Amino acid sequence: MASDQDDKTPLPEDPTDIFIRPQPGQLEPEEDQPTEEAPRPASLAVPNEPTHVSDDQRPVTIESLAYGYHRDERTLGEDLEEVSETVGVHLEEDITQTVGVHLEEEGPSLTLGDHLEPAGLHDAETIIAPDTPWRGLHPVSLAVNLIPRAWQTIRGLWPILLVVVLSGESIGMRFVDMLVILMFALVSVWNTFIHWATLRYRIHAGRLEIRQGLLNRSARTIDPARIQNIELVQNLFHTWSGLVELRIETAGEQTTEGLLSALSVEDATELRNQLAAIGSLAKQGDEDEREADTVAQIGLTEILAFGLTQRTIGTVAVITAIGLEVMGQGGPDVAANLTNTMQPTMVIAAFMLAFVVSWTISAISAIFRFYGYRMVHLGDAIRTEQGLTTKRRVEIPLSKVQLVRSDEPLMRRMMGYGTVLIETAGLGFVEGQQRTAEGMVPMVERQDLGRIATTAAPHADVDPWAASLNPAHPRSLYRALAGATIRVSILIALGMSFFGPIKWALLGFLPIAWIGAWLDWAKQGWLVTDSAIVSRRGFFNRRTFIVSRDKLQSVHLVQGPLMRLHGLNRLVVSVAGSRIALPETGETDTAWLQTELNRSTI
Amino acid sequence: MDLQDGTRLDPGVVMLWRLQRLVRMVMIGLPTLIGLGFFASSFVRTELAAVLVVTLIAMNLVFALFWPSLEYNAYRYLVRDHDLLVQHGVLFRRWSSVPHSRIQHVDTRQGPIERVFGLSRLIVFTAAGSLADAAIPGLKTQDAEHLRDELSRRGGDDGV
Repeated sequence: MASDQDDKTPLPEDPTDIFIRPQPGQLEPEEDQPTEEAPRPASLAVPNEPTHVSDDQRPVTIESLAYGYHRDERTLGEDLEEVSETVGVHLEEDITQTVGVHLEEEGPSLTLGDHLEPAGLHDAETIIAPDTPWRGLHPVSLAVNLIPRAWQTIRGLWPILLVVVLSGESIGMRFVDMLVILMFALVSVWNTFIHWATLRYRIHAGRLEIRQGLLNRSARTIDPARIQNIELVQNLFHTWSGLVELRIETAGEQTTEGLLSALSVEDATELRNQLAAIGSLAKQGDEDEREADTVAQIGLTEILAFGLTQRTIGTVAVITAIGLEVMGQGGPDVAANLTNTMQPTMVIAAFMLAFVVSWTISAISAIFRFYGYRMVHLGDAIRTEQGLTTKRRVEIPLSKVQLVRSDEPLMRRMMGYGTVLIETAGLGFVEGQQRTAEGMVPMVERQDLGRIATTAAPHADVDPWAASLNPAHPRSLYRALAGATIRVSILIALGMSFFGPIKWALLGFLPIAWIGAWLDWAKQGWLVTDSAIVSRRGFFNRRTFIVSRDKLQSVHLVQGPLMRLHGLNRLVVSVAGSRIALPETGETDTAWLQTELNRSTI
Repeated sequence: MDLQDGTRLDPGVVMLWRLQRLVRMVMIGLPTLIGLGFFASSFVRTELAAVLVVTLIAMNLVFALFWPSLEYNAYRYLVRDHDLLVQHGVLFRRWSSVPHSRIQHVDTRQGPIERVFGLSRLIVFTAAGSLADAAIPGLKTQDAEHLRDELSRRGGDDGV
């Protein structure tokens, strides 16, 4: 696309390296959204050759137009000055603290492949010195990734597909819809190709460097000490071809910061071990496998039980909706007949059927997801392994754990189990879904919950299942009851407009809501020790949060008008990635909490 | 509980907030209420709808003039040895404590009306998320810049 441009500008030494070849900057919509928190400077690129690029040769980039900034021949120092002026405090605070500096390349330039520090730059010569060779992805990985990637995209579009299949539109319109989906699939195929063809990585000067892109090139530097977690993923295709996908998560963006898809198992292991040697991952490698200390292991029955106690209601709703749509496909008469002749018993039977279908689906998906689950403790990190067809291995340095949460939904709790979730600051979107937690132990027997939670959060040496928690303040029950009354009344008022003869029976939900609110209030609890903050809330879905106090980012105290009337307060603490509210506390407890949290603050 | 010994905002912020609320009222509130009035006039008598709309506008006006001084009274901040403490909110009161070591970056921001008043907002971010953890509006621009530089200078373990 830029062949004439290439002829004019001086080419660097290595013509095979497409990164060094100048390209007029172009904007691809997927990337390059300057975030509000860290406005990315127009360019941090360093001129490569003794640059004498005249104005007519210099590509006018969209960035330069947007920022009103045009690259000039200037020294590195001037560049940095300009940047620090633009960014101000950001440069001093943000760049050093954020994880990777994301540098956009443009014009005839080499990447400044290193971390910017306010104290000054590393010697520019050593950065550009090409002593560490760049490595690419495994040659086979393109073929291996194409089909799964396209399939993932299409699967992500399932609501559209459903509309296409079920809609009463003409064939022509359906064809257009299908074309849209096909276009998305093609874009994902193209991105996969670009990823495979252009990605280069290396570990240089103690940092992992990744660069990629054809039109919109990027170079990223990741400090291994800032890695929040590493995930190795192997789907069936990867397993057959001996490849593995490496996902490196830092606290920066929502997306996975370092995605290497895919490497050979040996290369991935080598990279992981190199990163571990510098950074915060466990120093032990795979050879120490036998010495690893197994924290949790989960059998097939337990996985099935997990599936059966998983978000049933939502699935039932979706299945019912789809079922109704399918019936609607039979023509309006069929649907009308059905609704007229439907007996209450049939309605109940249909509901039961929907439940059975949803249980089956979640049980099967739980097996696919968690088959062979195992969590091991490797020195100063924990590692989980799971998956039937797609195998995942997540490694989390214990020093990066921000929050340990335990979910005990009523059904799972009655079985004597709970789920433990481990969160780091690397939360984000993976495969189009918001990931709830980096580490997850799906089924843990109650007597083990405390042990696993304290393994994951070693600085928080409190076991909420053994310690006695402080209850919520008695007066907060009034608020809970009032809130429940208001919420349920609205629902009842809505329901009454739908149901005819039995509408007064709906009022029966009111006492149920009161009992629920009372149970919820009665089961709340909080505890603040020297090292940890514990908060427990909820009855139907009981959640226990454990935060190590050395991870607190900020502490807030909240009081609404009604709470002031009752002399209540709510303490909210935030860690990187989450906010945790404590149950409501009275004056005395609040005052104690304030002094206690002030005393030590971090 | 009240943060009595905290620093108050610049008194000019009351006028600033009044003006901002009035501008917002003229741009958003008035068209909405008048539209609502026309809508209501198809259900009730036109006079009644007109009275309703005028009352609402008058209430909005009183609120816009009166509320900022309450807000000003509620807003306090205090830079302590280890943290920044901010108290604000009239009905829903909030105290926020942000330790210096956890501050990732500090912004000062200024809108067009604020520029006329020579005031700036100070916004403090930690690693906790994209939402600001503490904000102090209505500081004299040079005070805000001074505070920004002071807060962003201190380092330490950011806990991430």
